Amino acid sequence: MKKYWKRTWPLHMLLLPSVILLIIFQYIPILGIVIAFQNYKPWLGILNSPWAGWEHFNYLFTYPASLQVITNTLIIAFFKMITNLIVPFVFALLLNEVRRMSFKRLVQTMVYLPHFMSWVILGGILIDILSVNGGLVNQFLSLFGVNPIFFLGSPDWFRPTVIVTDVWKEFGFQAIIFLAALSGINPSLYEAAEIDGANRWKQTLHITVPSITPIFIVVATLSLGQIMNAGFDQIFNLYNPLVYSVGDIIDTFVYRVGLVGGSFSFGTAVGLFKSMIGFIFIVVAYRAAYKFANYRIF
Amino acid sequence: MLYTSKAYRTFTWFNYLFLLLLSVLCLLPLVHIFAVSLSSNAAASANLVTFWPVGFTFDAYVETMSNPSFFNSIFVSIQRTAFGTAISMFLTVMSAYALSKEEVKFKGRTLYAWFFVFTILFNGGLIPTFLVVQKAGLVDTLWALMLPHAVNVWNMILMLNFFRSLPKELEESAFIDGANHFVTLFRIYLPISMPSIATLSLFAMVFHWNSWLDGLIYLNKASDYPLATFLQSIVVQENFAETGLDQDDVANISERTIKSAQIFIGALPILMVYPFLQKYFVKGIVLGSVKE
Amino acid sequence: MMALVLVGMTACSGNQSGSEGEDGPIVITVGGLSDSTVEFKDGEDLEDNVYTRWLKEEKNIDLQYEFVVSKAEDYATKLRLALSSGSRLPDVIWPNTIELAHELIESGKVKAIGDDIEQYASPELKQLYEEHPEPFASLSRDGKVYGIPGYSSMTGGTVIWIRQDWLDHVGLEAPKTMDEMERVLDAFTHEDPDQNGKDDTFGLALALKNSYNDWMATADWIFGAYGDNLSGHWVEGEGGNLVYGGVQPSVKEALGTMNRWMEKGYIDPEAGIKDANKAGDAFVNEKAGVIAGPYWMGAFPLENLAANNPGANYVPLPLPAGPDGQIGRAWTNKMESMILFSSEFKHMDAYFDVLNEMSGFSFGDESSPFYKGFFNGYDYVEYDGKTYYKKEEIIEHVPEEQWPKSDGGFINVQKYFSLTGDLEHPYMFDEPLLKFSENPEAEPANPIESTVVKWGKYHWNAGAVRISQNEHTIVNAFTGLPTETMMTRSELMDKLESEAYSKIIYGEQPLDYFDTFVENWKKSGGEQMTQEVNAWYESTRP
Repeated sequence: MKKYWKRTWPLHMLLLPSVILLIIFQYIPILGIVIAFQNYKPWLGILNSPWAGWEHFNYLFTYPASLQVITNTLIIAFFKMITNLIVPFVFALLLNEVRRMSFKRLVQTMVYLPHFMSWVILGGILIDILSVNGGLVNQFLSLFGVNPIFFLGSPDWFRPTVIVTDVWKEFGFQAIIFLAALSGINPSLYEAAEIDGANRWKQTLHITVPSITPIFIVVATLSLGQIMNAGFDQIFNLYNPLVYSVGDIIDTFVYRVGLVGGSFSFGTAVGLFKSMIGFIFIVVAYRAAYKFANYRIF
Repeated sequence: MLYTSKAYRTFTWFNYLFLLLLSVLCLLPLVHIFAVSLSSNAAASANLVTFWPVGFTFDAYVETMSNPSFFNSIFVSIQRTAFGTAISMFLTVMSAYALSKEEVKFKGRTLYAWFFVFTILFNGGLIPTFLVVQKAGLVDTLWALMLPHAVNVWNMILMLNFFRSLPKELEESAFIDGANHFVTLFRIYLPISMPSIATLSLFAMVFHWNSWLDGLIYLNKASDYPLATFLQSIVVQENFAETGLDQDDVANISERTIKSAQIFIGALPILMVYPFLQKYFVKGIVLGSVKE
Repeated sequence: MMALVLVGMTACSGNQSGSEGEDGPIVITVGGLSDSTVEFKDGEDLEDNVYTRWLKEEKNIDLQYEFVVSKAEDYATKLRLALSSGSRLPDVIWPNTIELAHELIESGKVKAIGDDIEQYASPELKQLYEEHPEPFASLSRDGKVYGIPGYSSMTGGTVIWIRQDWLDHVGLEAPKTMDEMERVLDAFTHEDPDQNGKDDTFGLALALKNSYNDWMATADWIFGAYGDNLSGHWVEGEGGNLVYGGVQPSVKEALGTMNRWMEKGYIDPEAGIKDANKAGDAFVNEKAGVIAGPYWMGAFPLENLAANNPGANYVPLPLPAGPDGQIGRAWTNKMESMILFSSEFKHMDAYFDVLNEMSGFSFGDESSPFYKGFFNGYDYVEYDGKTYYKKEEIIEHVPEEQWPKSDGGFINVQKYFSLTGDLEHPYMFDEPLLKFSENPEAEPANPIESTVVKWGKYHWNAGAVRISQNEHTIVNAFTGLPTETMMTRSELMDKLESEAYSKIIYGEQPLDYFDTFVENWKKSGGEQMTQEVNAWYESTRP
C-alpha cells in the first residue's frame, strides 16, 4: 500500500494545479446555475433573487415556436457535425498523398485561413458571392444552365447553404488534428505493404485509415457534445424572416427573447438544457466507443 | 514503384488540381479584404471591390499605422497568447500524463477524467464567472484572460490519448532506473512529444488569439483590449438607427477600407505561426488503438 | 444640516459652485462610450481632452472613467455586471434602453432628481423640458422623475432619394404619387436608365432583413402611403384608444403593393436578406435608382456615389402620396438618450451648472461662453477677429497649425461630452435649414445658422424636403416600459409579423394571408397587449 502511494502521489500532484483552477473558475461559477431556477435580478444577486422553480423551462417547452427552433438546431447541428468530421478527414487523406512538401504546406496554410474570419465579415461577403444578381456562384451555375438560386432567402436552400459555408470556413482548421496524426504514422508500415504488393489505395485503406481511426473516434465523440449548438454567430449573420421556418435556432431565439426581457435566468435555463443534452450524448458515445471499438476516449 | 502506376499518376494530377482549387476558394475572403483595404474609400463604400483594388491607395494603411491603440491591442494579444498558451500547455501536459495511466495503476483517474470532461459542457455562465474573477481581484489584469480557461480539457484529452499510445516499456524502464513520475514525464515523455505539443499549442494559441468576449467583460479600458475584442468592436455593423447618428457624425463614420486594413494586419501574426509550427508536424501525433 | 447649508451656499457662488469647500476637485465618475465616430486631436484621448480640461479648470471637476466601451450594448453589459457584483455604478449613467433604465430605478441605485431639476436647472432648460415633456413619461416611476433626457434634434424622418439623371434618361418627371412612383420604378427596371445597354438595374433599394424601418433603405413610406399605420408603432385609433399599427388594414394594401413591385422586379430581389448597410450598396453602386432614408444620407453614404461617378445626380424628393393623398413616415423619438444619476452622487448642483452653461449654444444665448460653439479650434475656429465655421474658408484664411484637423475639417467634440451628451434640442436646425435651402447665399445670423451652413447644400435641400413633411409623421404613442405580455410574447409576435410580411411580399403566401396573420397575432397575445398598452396610455394622460 505504501509503495502504491509512493508511486502514485506524483500523479495527484500533477493534477493538482488543474484541479484547483477548475474548481475556482468552473465549479464555483457552476453553482450560479441556480439562477436558471430564479428570476434573477442583478442588484439582488444570486442569494436574494426570488425563486421561479421550473418557470423558465416551462416557458421554453410550451412556447409555440420551441419545437421549430429545437428541430432546426438539431438538424443543422447534426449535419454540421457529420460534414465537419468527414470533409476534414477526406481532405487530410488527399493532402497526405501530396509528395511535394512546399505545395502541402501552402495548401495547409491557405485552407485554414477562413477559420480566422468572423461571421460578420464572411456574412457580408457571402451575400455578394451568393447573390442572385451575378454572384460568383450563380454565375458559375449558369454555365450549366441552372437558374439563379436564392441561397440565403429560400427555405429549401438555407440549411444546405449554412452547412456548406460552415464546412468551408472550418474544414482546414479541423483537418489539422488529422494531418498531425497522419504524419505520425510509421513509414515502415508502408514499406512493408509495398513489398507485399499492396497498391496505394489498399495502403490507404489498410494502414492510413486504421491509424487515424482512434483520433477520429475521439474527435467525433467530443463533437457530439455540441449537438445543441448550431452556431449562433453564423446563423445570426445569415438568417432572415424568409427562412425563419428552417433557420431559426435555439440560440437566436434566446437572443431575441433577451432583447425584450433581458432575462439572464432564461438564458441560463436554456443553456443548462443544452448542456444536459450534450452531456447525455457524450456519455452514450463514450460507452458506445468502449463497447464497440473497445476504445476509451478519456 | 507502385506510385508510378498510370491510375495513380492520374489521381495525383487531379488531386493537385482539386487541392489547389480548394485553397483558392479558402483564400477568397482574405483576398477580398486585402483588395478593399487597398481601394479608395468611395469604391469600397459602394461595394465595387471584389478581388482587385479599385482606385489603388495606401491611405487605409497609413491611417492604421498612425493608430496607437490598434498596435497596443496587437501587443496585448501577443502577450496573452504567448503566456496563456505556455500556462495552458504546461497544465495540459501534466494532467494528460497523469490521466493517461490506467485505473488499475492509478485509482481515481476515471473520476478525475469525468471531473475534467464535465466542465466542457457545464459552466456557470457570464455573471457567476465574472463574480469569481472579480473576487479573485483579476479584473483589469491579463490574468483574467489567461486563468479562467487555462485548463483546456479538449487539448488535454488529445494529449492523454497520445501519451497512452506510447509504449508502456518507456515508463517501466524509467522506473527501473529509479525515476519517478515527474522525471519520467519531463525527461522521457516530453522530448518525444514535441510534435503533439506543437499541434496542441497551435490550438491553444488560436483559442487565445480569437477570444474576444472575455476582453470585453474583464477589462474596463478599451485601450487595454486585445486585438480580437478591438476588432469585434469595429466590425460589428453599426446600427445607426439606435445610436442616433445625425448630420454631425456622417463625416466620421469609420471607413470600410480602414476596417479591412485592420482585419488584414490583425490576421497576419497568427497566420505566420502555422507554417512555422508545421516543421514540427513531420512526426505528428500518433494514436495507437489502445485496448484494455 | 451642515450639508444643506453648504449646498445653499455653493449654489450661488458662481464658478466654484460644486465644490465641497476648498479640499480639491469634485470627482465625477462616468462610463465612456467611444465608437468609431469619435475623433480626437493628436495627443488627446477620452480621458484628456479640451472638454476634460475645461471641466477641471473652470468647474473644478475631475472626470473619471469607470470603464470605456465601444458599443451601447457593451455599456449595458458593464452596468449589469456592476449591478450584479454590487460594485460602484458611475455617478452619471447612460442606460441604452428603457428596460435598463427601469432596472436601475428598481434596484434603488439611482435617485429621483425632480427636486434637483427644480432647484438647479436654468430657466431656459426648465422651459425646454416643459415644451417637450414626452420623454419624462419614460423616465418616471410612481410619480417621481429619475432622469433627464438627451433630446434628439428631430432631424430624422424619411425622404426619397432618386437619380435625377436616370429620370431624365427615361423621360419622366419626379414622382409625386404612388402611381407615378410605380411608373418610375418600372422605367428604372426595364428602360436601361443608366444607358449602359445592359438590363442590370432595378427600381428600389430596400432593407427588409431586420425591420421595415431600418436606418436607411426603409419601407416606412410605402406603408405610410396607405394609412398612418406602421409596424412598431402604436397609433391612436378611433375613440382615442391606441391600436397596433402593424396589424391594421392599410398595412395589407401596402404589402399588396410591395408584392406587386417584387413580382415585377422593381425591388431588389434580395431585399429580404439585406440590412440597411448592405441594401444601401445597391443605390451607391448604381443598381437601384430609388432609396428612402434620412435627409443626411446625401452626405453619407451617397457622397460615395458622386465620388465614383461624377455624372451621377441624385436629389431628395418628398414622399409620394397614396391613392387617397395619404402620406406617412416613421417617427423619431424625441428622447435620444437617458441620463440617470447614482444615488451616491452628491453633486447635482455641479452637474446642472455644467449642463446650464453648455446649453448656451443650443439656446442661442449670446451671454454664454458657448454661444459661438463649444471649443475654439475644434468645432469652430477664431482667427484674426473672425469666426469660421466652414472648412473651405478655414483652409483659405487660417494658418494650418490652427486647423482643427489636418484636412481643415472640424472635430465633433460633443461626442465626448460624457456628462451631458450632445446638447441638441428638438427642431433647432429646422429654421436654418429652410432659410438656406431658399437662399443659399443668405448670411448666417447666428452660430446655429453658421453650423447649418457648414453642412452644405445637400443637407439644406433635403432638410427642407423633410421639414415640409414633418406633419406626416406617424407618431408612436407608446413610450412606456414593455408591458407584461410584451416581455413574454413580443418575440413571438415580432416573428409572426416579419414572417407574414416577408411571405406576402415574396408571394409565398397570397395577400389574404394577412388576415390569418392578424387573427394569429390577436390570439397570441395581441389583444392582451393592446389592453395593457391602453391602460398605460390612460395612466399618462392628465
